[in-house]
Amino acid sequence: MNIHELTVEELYGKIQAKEIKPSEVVKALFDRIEASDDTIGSFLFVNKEAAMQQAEKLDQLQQEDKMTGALFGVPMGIKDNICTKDILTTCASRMLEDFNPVYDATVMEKLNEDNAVLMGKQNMDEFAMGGSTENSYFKITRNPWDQKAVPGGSSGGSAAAVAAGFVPFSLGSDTGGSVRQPAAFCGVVGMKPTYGRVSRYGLVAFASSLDQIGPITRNVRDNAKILGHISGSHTKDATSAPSMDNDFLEGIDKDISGMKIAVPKEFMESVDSEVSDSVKKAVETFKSMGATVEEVSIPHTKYVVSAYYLIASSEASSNLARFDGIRYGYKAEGAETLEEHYKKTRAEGFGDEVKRRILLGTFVLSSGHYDQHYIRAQKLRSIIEDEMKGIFKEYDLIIGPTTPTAAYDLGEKADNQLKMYKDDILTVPANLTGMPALSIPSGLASSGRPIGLQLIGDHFDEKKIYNAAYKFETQYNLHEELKQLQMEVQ
Amino acid sequence: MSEINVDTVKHVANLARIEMQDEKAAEALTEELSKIVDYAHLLDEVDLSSAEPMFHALDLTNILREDVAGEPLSQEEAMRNAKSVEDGQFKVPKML
Repeated sequence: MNIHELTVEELYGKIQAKEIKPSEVVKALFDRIEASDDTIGSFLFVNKEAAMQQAEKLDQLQQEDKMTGALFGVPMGIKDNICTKDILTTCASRMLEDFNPVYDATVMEKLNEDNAVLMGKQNMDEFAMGGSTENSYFKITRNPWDQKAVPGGSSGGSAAAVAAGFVPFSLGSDTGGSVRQPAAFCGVVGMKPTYGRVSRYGLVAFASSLDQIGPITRNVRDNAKILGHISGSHTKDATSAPSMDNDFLEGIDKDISGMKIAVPKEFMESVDSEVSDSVKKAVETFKSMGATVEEVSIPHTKYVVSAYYLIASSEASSNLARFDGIRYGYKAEGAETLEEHYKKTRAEGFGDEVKRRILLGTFVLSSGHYDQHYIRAQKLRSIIEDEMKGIFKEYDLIIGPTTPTAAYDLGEKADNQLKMYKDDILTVPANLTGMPALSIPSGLASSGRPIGLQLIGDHFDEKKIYNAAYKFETQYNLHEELKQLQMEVQ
Repeated sequence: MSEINVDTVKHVANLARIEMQDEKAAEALTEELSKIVDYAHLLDEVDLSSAEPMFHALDLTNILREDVAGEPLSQEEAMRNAKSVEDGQFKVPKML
């Protein structure tokens, strides 16, 4: 039995059946991480001592038949912008290099209650700003499918670790595609839930009206299971939605014949031919299972990237004002006045991309530009929502590509921000509207790098997404390819 | 003609409290931000006169918690990550 190949459900089942001890699972994965993560670079740091101690306690409970918690003994990796009490949370920034949160994020409270085991914190673009994980202050992460390629971003460490078999699941955060795009690049499954489905309390804020935490897994069922366990409102996040049915596994294998699926033609116009071929094949797969698939239009698609960057940067400039070097985080030396202290701290603590976005946002919100840029961007947002809501009156789901291309080479777009921004055209509509969206593998490019298919649902329609994705996965998946890959990584 | 020049960048950096003394860095940022703002002007061609701005994805209002006292962080915990503390207070350089 190869422990690293086991899914969340398999690991949980084998631990419950006492076929394997939690400490054996945790140790096997740490051995793997220690042997191979030097080349992949998915973890910023591992939590070995605490995880091993916890696992031994779980061993004891297993022996005494006192196993509680829906993820008892299942290891996890967490993106490093999600607060973990007394465990470093750096956002891959010099600004938070030595920051130890004094509380757990809501999602961590839930996963800890479920007795999942935290293996470590994962690399990302600094403050989640970027699409390749090359903006980390600490290091780059490589794509396990091809080490010359980026893993995507900003949750690149999380997606790479799941693909490489270091952990069966991770949590990332998605503001403009930061869970779905790296999931697509690394051949795994990534969900951006409906805005408000998952509490953001303890997620270091980037753009508060767009951010959502979501699971990254190797298959659809695991993804649905993890989302169920992290969902629910929290009094400390007033934007989290009141609790509702969070059992996403229920009905996941329902027949999808009669399901109505829409493919926006604008999405297909934005991608390279290998990606569009992969989506066309997926369309045939859905049809073969009895779904109806038709072309639709979201006419304002070409404007979403402009609107997104104006809004996200504005919110970021406001959110990142909290980093003052006084209450926590990096503090510059030698400042003589308070103003000088702020300016030096922020100039030295933030990386280039973070500064660019803060300055862009400050510009957009500054007098004379607010109406012209900010308000107009927010108006475009409501137009996109109207167009997508109109589609959902007639269709169950929207599908299309997750990204315009498969993963590109490290360094290829590092100096061209605008080019990288434009790649977000397919993922930002779900963030602007707050709708749920999932990426699943739908093919391999001729380079051997994975291609992702995106399924977008109406607000709180995650169940429909998981149902269609699960059925698709029974017809096409990369499970064997991932196992092969994991043998090579070891 | 872009609406962003080096002076704009320096002005905005001052508003955002980010030191910007290096001329070369300011010029590079000016060029990068100009490209992005120019691209954002794509929105100018859209008729938005009848659209309402959408500041938020969900229609939630008045989400209030019960008015019950909770357990706050202790002063010690709240200050644990500060680099400069004196007598249980944050210490900062002079303000004026």
